[in-house]
Amino acid sequence: MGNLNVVLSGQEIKNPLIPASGAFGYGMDFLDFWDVNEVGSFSIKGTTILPREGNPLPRIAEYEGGMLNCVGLQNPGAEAVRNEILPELRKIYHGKVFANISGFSIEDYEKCAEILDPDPSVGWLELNISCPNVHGGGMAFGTDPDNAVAVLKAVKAVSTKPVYVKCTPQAPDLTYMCQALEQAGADGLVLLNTYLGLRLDYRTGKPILSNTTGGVSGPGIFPLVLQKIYQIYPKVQIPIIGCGGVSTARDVIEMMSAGAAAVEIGTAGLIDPMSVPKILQDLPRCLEELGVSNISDLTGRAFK
Amino acid sequence: MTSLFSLPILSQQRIAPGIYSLELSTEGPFPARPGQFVDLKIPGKMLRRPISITDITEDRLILTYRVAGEGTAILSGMKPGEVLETLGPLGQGFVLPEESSHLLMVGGGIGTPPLIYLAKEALRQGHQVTVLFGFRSPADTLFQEELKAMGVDYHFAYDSEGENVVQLMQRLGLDDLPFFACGPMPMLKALCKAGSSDGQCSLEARMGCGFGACMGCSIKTRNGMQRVCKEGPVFSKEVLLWET
Ligand SMILES: Cc1cc2nc3c(=O)[nH]c(=O)nc-3n(C[C@H](O)[C@H](O)[C@H](O)COP(=O)(O)OP(=O)(O)OC[C@H]3O[C@@H](n4cnc5c(N)ncnc54)[C@H](O)[C@@H]3O)c2cc1C
Ligand SMILES: Cc1cc2nc3c(=O)[nH]c(=O)nc-3n(C[C@H](O)[C@H](O)[C@H](O)COP(=O)(O)O)c2cc1C
Ligand code: FES
Repeated sequence: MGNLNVVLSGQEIKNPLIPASGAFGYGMDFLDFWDVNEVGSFSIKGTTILPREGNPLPRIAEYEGGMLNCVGLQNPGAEAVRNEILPELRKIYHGKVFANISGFSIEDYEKCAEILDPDPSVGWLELNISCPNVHGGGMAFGTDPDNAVAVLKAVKAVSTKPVYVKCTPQAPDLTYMCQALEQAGADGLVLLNTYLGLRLDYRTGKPILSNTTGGVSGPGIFPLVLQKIYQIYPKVQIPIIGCGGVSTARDVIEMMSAGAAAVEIGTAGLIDPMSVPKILQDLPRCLEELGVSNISDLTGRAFK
Repeated sequence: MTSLFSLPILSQQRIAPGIYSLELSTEGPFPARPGQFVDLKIPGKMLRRPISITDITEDRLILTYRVAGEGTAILSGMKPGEVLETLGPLGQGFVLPEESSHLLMVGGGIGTPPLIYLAKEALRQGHQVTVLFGFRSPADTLFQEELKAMGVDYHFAYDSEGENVVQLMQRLGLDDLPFFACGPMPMLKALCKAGSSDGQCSLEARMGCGFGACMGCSIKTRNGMQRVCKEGPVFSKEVLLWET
């Protein structure tokens, strides 16, 4: 039996599968289907300092390779997440989660981190500087290395937990961005958030999504994200969590081979709520087939 | 409890222009209440298609759908014996009152299906039921046989004859009855304005997951943000704000 454990900044998780932010809620909605304690960790819905209603409907469109969304960071705000949601989450989930935080100013991120960092269920902070669906926040920080570094430094100064930065493929020079973040003290990188995309209605020719554009996710972006991980891995020392389009155990193996230490999975779990447990079931067989005893040995295999 | 079922198609039949009745084979009655829905995996499509439950028998789940786009067009070409991966039951459904009363079911077009199961259940529970269905024209009429067989009081309104269901309700003087409704947004809005203060509406939204995880279907209500797929699709009239 292969060993699925991986270590992320000194904290071990029992397998490298991490349901991604915004596609797993707070874990509760999957309980009808499987015991969410099967995953090593998961990332909670993007949290902002103030409650957000998100964008009007429609927020969802489809394409051959997956979906587009413009949910727009609907969440009850950091205080409610800490005081009301995380205590509920602890009843159903015993591991530690990634607190995905977002904002519209450096101060927003800092305050959000101050509130969530001390929570016992939070194992890592995940800085979402990559949301394409809000104006004047999110991705605006992730496309400019100076802004990104400023957010990171402010958050690092108020947090005790490892800080992972979730990057956007819209960054003009992603390698430079990742190196700048590493230098500024990032504990890890999450590559990537969604790609900016658009769908128009066949009949009217007008945008389907209320926010005109949306974030493209799902199997269709897998090769694009894989290429970015392959590109960044040799250029940084900190761990990379791969995220984008993973839907099978083989995708997990491939993404780890490109350099990912662990893998987040979003859209696949929305399309089929059983996809994560199915992947977990298949992974040991893949390791056996490959003659690998520790899954962590696969990380960066492409370069060995 | 919500689960994934693999349900073989028993039969599929065109029952009106662009409208199909689909019978899926189940082992025992499908465990759903009126107003809940299922999410169908259509071969070749990424996201599931939400469809309301028209009726449930000992061994079948009956759905009624309109060919609205690519997914439902593929569905209409599927043959008996083919298997549909079905996620459900989803959502909360309608809530019938405890004491027996006279209830109004108001449906428009392809919003009528969930009211068939609801009307049957309401009759079983001893309520008096009046069904008002609106269609574009007599050729588009759905469920006349079912309503007849139920022995329920029913009336149709046709756009082509210059009357919609809300006008029909007013003409019949039924605007004081608690209502249960599903149909196009303008119909629901007009109904909430003209009808009793006690009403429940089933809404539609484009969905990502259908089971509450993505916030893709949330609407603003008097009780805060609510997911059409999870807290809905049925909402009581007083919480609706009609913003999106
Ligand atoms: C709770 C609920 C119950 C429903 N019950 C029924 C029913 O009993 N019978 C019936 O005919 N239709 C019903 N609908 C509408 C039905 O889901 C859509 O007509 C269908 O999804 C269209 O798919 P398509 O691929 O043919 O259209 P396309 O336009 O090609 O679909 C593209 C995308 O948009 C979504 N979409 C398009 N129109 C709608 C819509 N009106 N509502 C929600 N999503 C939409 C699709 O699911 C798909 O993800 C219901 C919708 C909801 C939310
Ligand atoms: C409906 C939806 C909501 C999302 N919300 C967030 C969010 O709140 N914060 C965030 O960092 N990423 C969010 N994402 C992005 C995902 O976490 C992930 O980065 C992206 O979808 C790519 O992975 P996938 O192809 O496996 O889905 C969201 C994605 C989807 C589909
Ligand atoms: S469709 Fe995903 S939460 Fe409703």
